Amino acid sequence: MSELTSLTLTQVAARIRAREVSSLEVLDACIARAESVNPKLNAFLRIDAELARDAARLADAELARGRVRGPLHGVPMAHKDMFYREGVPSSCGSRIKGERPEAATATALARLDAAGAIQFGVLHMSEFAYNPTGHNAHFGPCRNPWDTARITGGSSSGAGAAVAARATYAALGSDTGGSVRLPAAFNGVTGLKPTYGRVSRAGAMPLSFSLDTIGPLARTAADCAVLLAALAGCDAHDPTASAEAAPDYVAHLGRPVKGLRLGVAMNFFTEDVEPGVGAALTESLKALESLGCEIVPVTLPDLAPMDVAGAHVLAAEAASIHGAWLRTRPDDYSPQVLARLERGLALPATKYIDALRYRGPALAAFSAAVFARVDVLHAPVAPIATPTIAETDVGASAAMDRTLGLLTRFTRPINFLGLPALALPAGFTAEGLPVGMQLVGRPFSEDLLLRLGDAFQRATDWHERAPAV
Amino acid sequence: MSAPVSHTLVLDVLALQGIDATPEVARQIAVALAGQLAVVAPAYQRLAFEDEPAAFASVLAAESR
Repeated sequence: MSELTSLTLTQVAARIRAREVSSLEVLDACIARAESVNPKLNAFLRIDAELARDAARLADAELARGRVRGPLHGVPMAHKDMFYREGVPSSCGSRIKGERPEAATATALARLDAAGAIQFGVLHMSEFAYNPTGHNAHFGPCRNPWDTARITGGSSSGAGAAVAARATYAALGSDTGGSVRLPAAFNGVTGLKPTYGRVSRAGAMPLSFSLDTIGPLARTAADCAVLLAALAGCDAHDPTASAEAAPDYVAHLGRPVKGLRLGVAMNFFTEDVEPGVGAALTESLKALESLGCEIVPVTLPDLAPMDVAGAHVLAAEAASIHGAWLRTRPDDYSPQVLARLERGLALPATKYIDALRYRGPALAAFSAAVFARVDVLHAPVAPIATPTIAETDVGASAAMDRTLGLLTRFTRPINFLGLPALALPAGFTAEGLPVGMQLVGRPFSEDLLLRLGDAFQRATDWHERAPAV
Repeated sequence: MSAPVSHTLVLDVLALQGIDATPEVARQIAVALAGQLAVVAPAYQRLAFEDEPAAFASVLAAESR
């Protein structure tokens, strides 16, 4: 790993802007790192070296003329292979998509472009983002850089692995049931699932209209703040993108967190938590308390109905989106994804609509129980430490629901509620596996979550640890 | 989602009834059953609904700071 690739996004952007290093040098270091680790990790599906080098040369020439496009000027990054770029195919982790070039560029990519970022590749993902492990029957599993026998988590599998391996400074992911937070937790990086509607989904592969969110994975909360500042805001191409004003996420960093009330769940998020995960979470609470946060026990409303309703929404919407391909190309799906999609076809329409009608009351009940008492809820991302590839390779067997359900148990209800959540490295198990915590906030409180996450990372060094891959 | 229904279990049940179904027919019945079973989780029977799902965006805005 070179000195350049060990920098954070914020650090490398400053060095490029100050012309201490060129964008081309940084890009070449990233490509070299990506090519070095990819045979072990399978994190990159494609590296577009020459196109990216042209863009980096242009960025350097612009800087020489005094032009700075934005806060990400000249910074290389790679993204989950489901954000469309005009003229380029996107596989979406499947055998079905990727046969034709896309007609338009995703708003999220266009906004990163406008801020000066350079895309140099696309990253591994679960087939159609419909799997929380990082398995992919078509492209092979993505492997965890902390232990290549273990999963990365998914569906933003390559994003988690590549950021952790210092092969990209950041990556876009998507989170419908935990797909940003699980790879962040299992790979020891930082990931933000924004409020539903905070980031435009135009030009991103849909899985569930009502649950999909797009968010960044990076090494620090401060990096995520820079990325969200570029991404957030309404969009004429996505009617569900919120018109709520986006605050200055970067300016909020560094403000005091003393006196913030931090909720610790007395139920649900305590159930079946492995000792190594629980110990790391307890230590993270102590660190936050030492920053002046007040720890407040809270009792959550019953999240089981929210989990069921979220599963109904996901199943019905995913089956609708995939309806044509389920009829015409069923053999091009892996057995697990096909089995999960087909279930949605059998779900009564009334139950889907009931689930959507429940969403508002569920959020109101959760807010009354939690956010009336605390500013932020602190919880594990997953109850278990990173499992192995072998033990989660369950295909469409009877173990499928139990395995997938265990992984998404603590993340999926947050998607149903539409709330923002920041996943951060909270420590390591005795086996040396990263443990992730999530900070969950009120709708559109990403500024507070990023400020608290940044304060935590100034006081700890879990996020600075890099795998020896 | 609820526990899946094994198509081999469906085949066994049909065989007990003297019905000789193909594995594909059994698989389709299993898929349909899994969809139906998903709606009967006990906690799901106690929900309070709002009138229209479109109100969720306004609830999100109302519950922000």
